[in-house]
Amino acid sequence: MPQTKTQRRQGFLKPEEIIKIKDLSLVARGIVEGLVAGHHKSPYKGFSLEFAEHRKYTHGDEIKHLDWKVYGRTEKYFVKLYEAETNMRVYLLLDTSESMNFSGGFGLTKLTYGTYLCAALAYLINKQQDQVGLVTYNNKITRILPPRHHPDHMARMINNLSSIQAEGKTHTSAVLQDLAERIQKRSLLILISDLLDDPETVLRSVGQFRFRKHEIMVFHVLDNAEWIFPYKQMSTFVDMETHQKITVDPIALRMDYLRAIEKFKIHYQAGFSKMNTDYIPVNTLVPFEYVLSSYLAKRKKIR
Amino acid sequence: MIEFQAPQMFPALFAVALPVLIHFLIRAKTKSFYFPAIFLFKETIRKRHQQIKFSQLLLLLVRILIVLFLALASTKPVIRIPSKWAFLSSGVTDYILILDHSLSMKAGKNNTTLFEEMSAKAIHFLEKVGERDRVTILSTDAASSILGNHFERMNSENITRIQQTLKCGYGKSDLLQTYQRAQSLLERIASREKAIAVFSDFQESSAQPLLDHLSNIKNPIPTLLFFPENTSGVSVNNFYFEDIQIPFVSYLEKETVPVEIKIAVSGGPHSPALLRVSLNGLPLKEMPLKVKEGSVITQTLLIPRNQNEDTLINAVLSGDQFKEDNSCYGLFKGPPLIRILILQSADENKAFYLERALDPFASEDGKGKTSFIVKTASSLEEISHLSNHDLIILPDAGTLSQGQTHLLEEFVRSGGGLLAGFGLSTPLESINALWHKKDGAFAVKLLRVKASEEKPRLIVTKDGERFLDALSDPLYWRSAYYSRMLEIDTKEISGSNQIWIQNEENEPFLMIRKIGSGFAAWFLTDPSPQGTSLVLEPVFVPLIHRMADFLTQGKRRKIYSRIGDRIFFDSKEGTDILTCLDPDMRKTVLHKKDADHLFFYAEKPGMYKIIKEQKTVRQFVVNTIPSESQLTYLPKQTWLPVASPPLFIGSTNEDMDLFLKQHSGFFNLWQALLWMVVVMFILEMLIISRLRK
Repeated sequence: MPQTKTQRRQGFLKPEEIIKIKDLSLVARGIVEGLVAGHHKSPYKGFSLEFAEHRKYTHGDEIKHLDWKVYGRTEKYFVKLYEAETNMRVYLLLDTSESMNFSGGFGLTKLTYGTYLCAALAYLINKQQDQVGLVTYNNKITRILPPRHHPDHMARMINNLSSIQAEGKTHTSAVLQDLAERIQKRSLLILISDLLDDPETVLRSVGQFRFRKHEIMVFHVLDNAEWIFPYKQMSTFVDMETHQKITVDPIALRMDYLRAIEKFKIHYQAGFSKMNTDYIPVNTLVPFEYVLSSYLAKRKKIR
Repeated sequence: MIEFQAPQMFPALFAVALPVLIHFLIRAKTKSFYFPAIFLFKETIRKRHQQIKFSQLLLLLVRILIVLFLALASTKPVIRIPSKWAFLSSGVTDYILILDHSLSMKAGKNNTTLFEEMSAKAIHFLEKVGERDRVTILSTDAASSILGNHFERMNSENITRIQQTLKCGYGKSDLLQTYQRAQSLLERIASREKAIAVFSDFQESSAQPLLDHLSNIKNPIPTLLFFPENTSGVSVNNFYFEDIQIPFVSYLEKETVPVEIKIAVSGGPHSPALLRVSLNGLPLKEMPLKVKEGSVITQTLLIPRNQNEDTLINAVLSGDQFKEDNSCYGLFKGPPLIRILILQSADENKAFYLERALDPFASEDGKGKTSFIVKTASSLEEISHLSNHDLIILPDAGTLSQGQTHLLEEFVRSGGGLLAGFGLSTPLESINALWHKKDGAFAVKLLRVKASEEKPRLIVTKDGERFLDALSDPLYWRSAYYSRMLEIDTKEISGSNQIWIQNEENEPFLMIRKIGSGFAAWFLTDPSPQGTSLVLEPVFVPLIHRMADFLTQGKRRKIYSRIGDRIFFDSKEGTDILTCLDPDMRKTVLHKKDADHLFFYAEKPGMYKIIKEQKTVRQFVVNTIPSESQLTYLPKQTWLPVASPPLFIGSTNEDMDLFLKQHSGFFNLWQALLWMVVVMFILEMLIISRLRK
């Protein structure tokens, strides 16, 4: 009997517990193995062996791939295609602007959450024999690792993720435009960001990506405090990027804020939905496994 | 007109500063947060800034009003309502009036018994209760029966009828039981103000248990304890020194001084008891007594001469029916040192006789006893310092020179006493030159002096009316006559008045006058070629004793104290310690939490009461005091918190009116204020919920 979500959730470690483990690669492996163990059918069992589909034989195809059983039944030549041959290029786009350094509690910042998420995704993608690359950015691209599928590449990815520092302002749309010009081959882009930017320009940039036939997944990572605005005492809020100060009574402001953040989310949701892009709002309290499950669902769709 | 029933709570008004302080403190101590999504509420703040600011100010105002209304309500403001608007009165009260009709209430003076006096006060009470108030009257007999109807508006006719049917002296009253009955009757009544008034002389044995009960009661009912005027009230010990006298004649005794003590017993069981008197902690005497209400025990004790030193006399009354031994203390100084100088007269033998009479145990060298020194001198010139003496006796002053007269005048003016004798032949001008007789002086005629050693007798008239008939025998001369003379002295002698004791048959007369701070007295005696010596005759010795007593009284003022004397407090501000000079002159250090005495004190016209019960010092003050300024001897900072029960003690109509004022015919503004607090609280909730939307 398949496990329910609740049953699975109970088995997962909470993000704030996972970040106590400093070894990113270990964590990534742990998350992925844990996720896989939670499924009855292994997602990566026989990636290169598992049959994918039949295709008509054309010149140049190797004869060893001919499906003789089909020929015996139909007297037509069909070639077997396997999973391994549907290799995918995945870019992990991680927002490293200062706003990502926010933590409402437990010391888990959005950037830390994003970093661990990236590591887990990279490990999972690598296991699936896909090529994974990393792009970190704030108002411009700060580092880029092109997608590869190689054991050394995975180590490089982990090293890069381990050394990420939050700095600078966000300019997601400009970065996406820049990246769209650099990526020529059709790829899957996984954007991990708080998207605290002008939604219109971000959506427009994502639209350009889609126009070039790239697949995009957006993980909209916000801290729990950003989702529920739990403040009660009279407080001075300092903007993390502009350092502007505002003293307000949070109780008086809470309902307005919650309406605004909901509107903000819906705006993105509607925009991404129009361009057939997956938009997943993420609370940093949510275990990484759920986010990975979303990816696996997407991966299935792409195949 | 707004009145405040608990004005001592006015300082609570300062609490209105709290919301303002908290408001500004919160503003000053805001926490800083880094927050990434500020742009989401920037616009909101811009739009709602004014609205939020207004709401917050409104919230602050509401909170201030909540505190203000609560503080004001704690002062219990009420509005007096005229009787025609009585229907508006919210303070509708059920009273229970307890009228003591025990035997002790039969006592009284001027043909009026205490019961009649208390009944009149009760009528006054009933006339003053509010239009809508109800009254029940309880008797204090064993059954605590209800007189008249249950909770009705009683009028003076009813109370007069009750007074006629109820006579005092039937049995022994039980105040505690009656009070408890009243309590149980009132506890059955809900939603009305309640009060109890007890009209009693509190001379019963049940008075103290009642006070104990009132002190320990948990849900107190406002109670008025009303007692007859001119009583000293109730003492927890029911036992105190009423008087301590050291007669002047006792000075003539050598080793011991006869001291007359009067110990009053108010309340207490009618039973045999044992009175034990100790002096400076040493047992002196034990006396079995039959104690009854209001008795005064008079005893003459021979106590060792202990001149000029504090002597603490302690009396302990114990008996089978006493809950505990009753103890009281008195303090007096031993016989003071009186220094008397007799100037040598022409008749030396008589001077010696007088000297011996005054100081029979004087030694031959003339030093006398330590407390009583008599010197003799042949002339004033022999005396270098007159101020070393308290009294100078001049048997024959007619021959004084101008300088000597001046010396004597200065001596008297500075507080000395002078007893002088003149011959009738002395010109009046000379006398007046010395004594400054004035026209306003009145004469007291000395009708006859029967110069018999066996039975001397003195009859004195004032303005022709006989008012002193004494001296039938030497003993009487020594005691009763002297005390009556004391009355004459204290009442009649003042700065300008004089007493003349004149002689109609060429017999001696006496004049006393105050000069400066001292007194001088002189006799006019028979003419004699050798001057007068009548003053030195044995028959005059007791009179001279008396005069010496009077003239030296300033040296022998009484310093003992008794119940009813003021209690002095000396407290350092900010401490819980009270240094108390209690009615028995014991200096007691009391802690608020650890007092073990109960005093009941009443003084008119501004009276204050202090009750310190066991373990707790409680003070029930204010209500019967017209103004706090009268309590000059009780500094305000030493006042202790008013504790329950709300107990009012009084003996005048004004006291009663003050009590009634708090319980009849008023509109409870504080109740309205509490409702306002509720309204303000709801308003606050609304504002907060609006702010949170």
